[in-house]
Amino acid sequence: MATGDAAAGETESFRERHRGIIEAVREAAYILGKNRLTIAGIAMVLFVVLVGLSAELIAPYPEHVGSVTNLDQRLEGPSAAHPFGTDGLGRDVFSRVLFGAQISIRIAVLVVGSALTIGIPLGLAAGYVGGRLEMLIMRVTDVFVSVPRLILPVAVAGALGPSLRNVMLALIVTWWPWYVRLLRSEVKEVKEAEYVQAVEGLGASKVRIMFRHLLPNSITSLLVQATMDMGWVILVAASLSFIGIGASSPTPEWGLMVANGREFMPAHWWYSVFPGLFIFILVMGFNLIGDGLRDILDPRSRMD
Amino acid sequence: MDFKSYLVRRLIAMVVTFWGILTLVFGISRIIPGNPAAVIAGAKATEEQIQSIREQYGLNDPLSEQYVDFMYNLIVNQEIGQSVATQRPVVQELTARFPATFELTTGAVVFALVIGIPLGIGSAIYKDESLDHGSRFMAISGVSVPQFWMAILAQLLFYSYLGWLPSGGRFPQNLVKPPEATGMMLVDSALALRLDAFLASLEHLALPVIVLSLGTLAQTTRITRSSMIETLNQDYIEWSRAHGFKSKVILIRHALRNAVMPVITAVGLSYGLLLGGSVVIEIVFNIRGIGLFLYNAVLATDFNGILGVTVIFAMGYLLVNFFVDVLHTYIDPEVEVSG
Repeated sequence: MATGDAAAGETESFRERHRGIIEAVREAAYILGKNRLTIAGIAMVLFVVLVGLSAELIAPYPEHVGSVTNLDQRLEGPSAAHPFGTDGLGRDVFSRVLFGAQISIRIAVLVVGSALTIGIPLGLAAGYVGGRLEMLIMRVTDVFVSVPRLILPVAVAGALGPSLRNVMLALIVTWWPWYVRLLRSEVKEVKEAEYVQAVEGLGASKVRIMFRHLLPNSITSLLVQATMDMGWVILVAASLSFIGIGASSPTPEWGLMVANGREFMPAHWWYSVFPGLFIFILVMGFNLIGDGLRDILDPRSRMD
Repeated sequence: MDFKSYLVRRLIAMVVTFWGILTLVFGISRIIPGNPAAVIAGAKATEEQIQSIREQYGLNDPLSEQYVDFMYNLIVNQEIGQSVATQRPVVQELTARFPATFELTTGAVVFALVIGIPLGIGSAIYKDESLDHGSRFMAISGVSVPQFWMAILAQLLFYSYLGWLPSGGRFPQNLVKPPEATGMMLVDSALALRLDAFLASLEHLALPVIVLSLGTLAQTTRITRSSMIETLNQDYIEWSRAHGFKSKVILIRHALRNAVMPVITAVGLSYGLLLGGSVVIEIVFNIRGIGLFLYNAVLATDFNGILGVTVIFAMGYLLVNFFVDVLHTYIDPEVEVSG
């Protein structure tokens, strides 16, 4: 640990005291440097996050986010004034795509965050406490993971009525069991370690053991999975909007824009193509980062 | 543990899970905020229609009674109710549309295996060379690309610009359909010994199958690659190399045998992805399968239709993974499957 031996700490330099962390960062940087695809992934996600955050500033027509109509500029191809062309109502596709980034990122963060919040305590409890509680939790997750991941949200969102909020709710309902299962299997491995038995012997409470000792030592694969799931969630949410269950007009949601652009194909291809391209870039970015994270955090999974 | 008792245990586990799914579906159908009858009746229903549905579905009964009725209808009568979108029983709709979706998803699995395994072998042999990098890039793109968007792009390129393939549907209108036997155009054409019909169906199936299989193809490639590499690094391979077994073919065959199970498992798991993907693919390519039915059910707020599709897709996914697990244990009895 960083605190280390107090007496020695005064004579040791900063570098010596934090040798462990520095080495870990160095190794991570080394692996990252070797892995150009991961850097590309970080760049892709950063790019979309930045354009999303600054959409208000850089979008040439921020008012086109709403249901503005400019019928005289309808379905114009890409040009200097409209880099991604205009849509069926004459709105600037570029501006709408930028604002769409905010929506997708918000969905991903909220859904994965909430699913983790539900999944982590249950996964810890199932893995550590075991017994009947584990049985019960695992049987319930069995049911949820047996429904294909696009279909369960369709049923839930279909029942609750089409809206972006309900899609997020449906996605949270779909996603939490996967974290429970993942964390449980990790915890079952970690809890056999000697130091856990030592802490148990010292009389630490179950909750303390779960959150202070088991969680930090089994969170690696959860982090990798959560990163990749950011991409997954964005994909599924966009698909749901494409099907007609998620966002509704005039929300500049990417999946909905692709769906709306379909009726103007093939002559006015830009309407569908650019929003879809942004989904692709963002999802790919998250997957590349997840892949790289796995290499850095979990040396066992390195392929060679 | 012997195989038979494993089989029984696994079967019971599957039935329990399926029962859980039905309960979940029942739960979903009763959490509808406000008035489930209004949702079942559809957006345009009158007050009387809603009332009669309320009676018909027993929505005035206590919840426990409703649950028993729901289960009884599903399991004993195989009945989900009337589809508001098409005015026909949901089960009848699903049965009629099942072959199209089955053909599509099976085609995607076959495509993923036929392309993915050789590509994975190639990547393992030429590790860290351009083929390997290319296949890695393709694999990550394959799971990242929105399938509905890829389908539109494929249509744009191969139909609108190149004119090589049809834009959608399952069969050309100007050709006589083969007599219906299985409902799968490709199989029916083959059974009728009609080469023209077979080729026409294949043409229609090509784009949807390829786009749908991208995710599975990606996984197949990566898993073949990593298990090939693992096997090729093992001692006995080194040993046989050292003793002069130069032929790569023998080595590959050895390694491939070890790669079979992980690949089958991955395909089983990605079957859920395929079923979900088939929805958007059927929408874009206008294939009258279960996915397109789901789409129309969503548009018409046909809740019975949505429930029916949820049940049948969950059932399909369960069955596929049941067979994968059983196959796994059959081939490699040392594998204990927690179930």
